[in-house]
Amino acid sequence: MKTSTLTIRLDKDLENLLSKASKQTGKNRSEIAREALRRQLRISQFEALRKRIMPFAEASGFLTDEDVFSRIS
Amino acid sequence: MKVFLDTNVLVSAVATRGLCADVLREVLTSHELVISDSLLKELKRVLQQKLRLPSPLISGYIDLLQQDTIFAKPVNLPDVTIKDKDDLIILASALSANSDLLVTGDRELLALGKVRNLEIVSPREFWEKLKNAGAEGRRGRGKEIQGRRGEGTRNTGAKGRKIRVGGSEELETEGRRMGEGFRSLKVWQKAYEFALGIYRVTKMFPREELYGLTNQMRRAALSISANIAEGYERQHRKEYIQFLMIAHGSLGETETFLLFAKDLGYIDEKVYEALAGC
Repeated sequence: MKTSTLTIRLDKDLENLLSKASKQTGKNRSEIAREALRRQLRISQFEALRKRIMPFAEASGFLTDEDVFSRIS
Repeated sequence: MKVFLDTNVLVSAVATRGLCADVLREVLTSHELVISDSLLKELKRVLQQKLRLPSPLISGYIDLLQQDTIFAKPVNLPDVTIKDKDDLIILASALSANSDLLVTGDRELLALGKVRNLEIVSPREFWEKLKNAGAEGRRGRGKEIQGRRGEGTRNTGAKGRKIRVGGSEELETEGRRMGEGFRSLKVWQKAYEFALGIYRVTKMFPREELYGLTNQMRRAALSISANIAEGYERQHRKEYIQFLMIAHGSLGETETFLLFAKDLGYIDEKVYEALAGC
């Protein structure tokens, strides 16, 4: 798989946190950074989608969890 | 933790204001999401027909759910009685990937409580469970991530490229399933199938080999799965590792016999390829 390199600046605190996490999990710092980035991007994508989807749901009468549970098994 | 979210929870998470959105956020942040083909199909259908979403939004959500998640491939249906056949498939998917939790709003599924090692909980119970686990859960998290090599395939990237995961699950102590024992180990299942294959193939060997190659090859082949099982049932991890080494040794032995039998012309190329590829 083709990969690319990203160099980022970290302040001392963040660097310490990263090294600590690396020691605890036995993963190297790049792996942790990649996973964190992947998770964060997924969450931002989710929030963006939610914002666009909610109005449609509301128009179809779905406002809360209960509305969904009572109509969708 | 490996978490399987039912269709209704996934719909609610993206479309309404409630706890389900927080549940999905939490899973995306600190757990492993498990999905399956049938789940995505059902989700797509509901979003189209009941929520009447435009298709780019639907595919956006489906793509998102496939990013870096565990793709369950249910093989057989579990032995439980519930009325809704779709729920049974959902349950089978969650079980096949060794999920820890199934979160659902479906009353019938919730009534089951627990199937094998899978706990079935409501979004509220999921939330309370995490709260109670608290610091304890955070301490254990590193371990869980290491132990996540389960069955099934993992998706990486938006385009749904799938790579196999597994391989070193034989050492995964957290994944031990009481009651199912070594039979649930993929490596044991494969070794067992392999031994069956060797027995069948050696049946055709000439009679004079009965106490020679036939016998040796059969013993070596069966020894692989037998040692995996024996190690698994031992009390200590190091013993387990020792038995896995023995099993690995037997595998090498069997491979040599297999190659030798092929070169002697006892088995043909195709059969050899099939067995060597196991």
